Amino acid sequence: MSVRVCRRRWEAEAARDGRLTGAALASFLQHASQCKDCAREQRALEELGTALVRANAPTDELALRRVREQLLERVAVRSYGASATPRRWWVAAAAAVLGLVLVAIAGKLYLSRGHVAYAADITASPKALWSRQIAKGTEQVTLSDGVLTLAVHRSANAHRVSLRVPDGVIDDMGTVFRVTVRDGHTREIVVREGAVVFRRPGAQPLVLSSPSVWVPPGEVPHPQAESKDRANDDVTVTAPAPRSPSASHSASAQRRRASTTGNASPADEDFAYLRIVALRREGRSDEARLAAAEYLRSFPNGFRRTEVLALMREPH
Amino acid sequence: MIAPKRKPRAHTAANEDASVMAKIAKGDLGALGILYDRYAAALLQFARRLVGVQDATDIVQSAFLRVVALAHAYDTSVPSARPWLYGIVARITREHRRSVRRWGAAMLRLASQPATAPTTIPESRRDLDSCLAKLSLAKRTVLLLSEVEGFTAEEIATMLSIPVGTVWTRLHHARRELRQLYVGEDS
Repeated sequence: MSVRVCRRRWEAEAARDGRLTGAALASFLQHASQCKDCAREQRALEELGTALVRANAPTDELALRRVREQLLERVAVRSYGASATPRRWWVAAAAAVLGLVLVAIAGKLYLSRGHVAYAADITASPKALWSRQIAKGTEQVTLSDGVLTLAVHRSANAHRVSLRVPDGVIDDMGTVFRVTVRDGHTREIVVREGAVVFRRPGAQPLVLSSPSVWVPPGEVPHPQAESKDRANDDVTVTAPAPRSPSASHSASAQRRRASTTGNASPADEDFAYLRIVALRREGRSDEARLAAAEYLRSFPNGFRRTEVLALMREPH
Repeated sequence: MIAPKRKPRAHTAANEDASVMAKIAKGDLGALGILYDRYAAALLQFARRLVGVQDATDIVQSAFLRVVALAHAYDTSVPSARPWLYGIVARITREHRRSVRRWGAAMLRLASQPATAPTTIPESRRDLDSCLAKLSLAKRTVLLLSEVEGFTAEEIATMLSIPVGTVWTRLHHARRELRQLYVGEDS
């Protein structure tokens, strides 16, 4: 049996799209309750809409995760000095790749002569977003997301190592430490050997000496939380309060006195050097020279002696 | 009795989008991650049905990169960024389709296999998606925004920068064509 086409059937779609309101809508509703054609049209529209909703595929979590990592990496690269114009990130990315290739080639040549190209051995979690390059005598490591464990070689010829994170910079020399970055913020710094200085905009630099764990206020240290992303990490967690280098003279003196052998440890030497670096970066040249003189008195054969002497000879 | 149209999907934190957008404008990477986690899944599904599986992830990533570029211009008096985000995705898919290179590749893919049909998709969904893929991008966009995402015609008009009347017209033609392809109806 054929259904007669009602001349008001178009109102079913109009009502669905919100084009009928008030009295017109009420009139159609009244009509549709008694008209088979209009009722059928309403059902057909509803069924089509329902089918479209149900046809949505399940969420592709893997694709979402991959896009998220790529997105944050691209934005992080752009934030750290790449050009602001959208298209130049291609140039920056290409330059970074070319730079890494050249560094790799130089590293191979260096290794063939028995020299170490990089000052730091780096172990990264599988999903970590990071990069490394050497510029002006500094090994610049950038971590955008994930976990990196760094072991910096203690060599007079080694580059200074600086780790850039989204919310600051971690300076290091002759240290083993691990950094966790998540959602654009540094979540944890674990220092296993030596010391690091964590510099953040608008905050006092923090000196973290081994063994220590630093987490932002409000967070609880979880040194084992990402065990699936690292291998054989057996760091023990103790957390002496971090201190700024400019207020740490008495603290460093106490550490030296506490040494069981009476001789300064490598960690003490690292701390003394990092204090000099922090003071210079704060623009406190006179205090930096005093700290350099103290370093030379305390560590006459220190492996950074040459560099510290050069700092002292720099003009005001 | 009239069947009520599907309402927009509830979003529990829509009123927080304005503050998140303000942080993104200041370069807060964490805020970008929050916005992404909030909307990317739905946007990916929307993009997939517009341009297919292979290009959907590129579309979504491009959309969020554009969010970063446009965050400073976001109207923070609008609590929910959802319509704005869908509008960005719709614009990017239009730009995507204008690329001659991608259009050629899409033609090749159409010739070799269905555009949105991995073998694991149930038959019914694959049939509907195949029929949906045969609509023009313009009709497909308004149909999905209206029927699946629950936006009103006025919201869609704002997103796509077209008159409301054009939205209604495209909806009408989209439904008619889809019913002819999928159900076999001839209105």
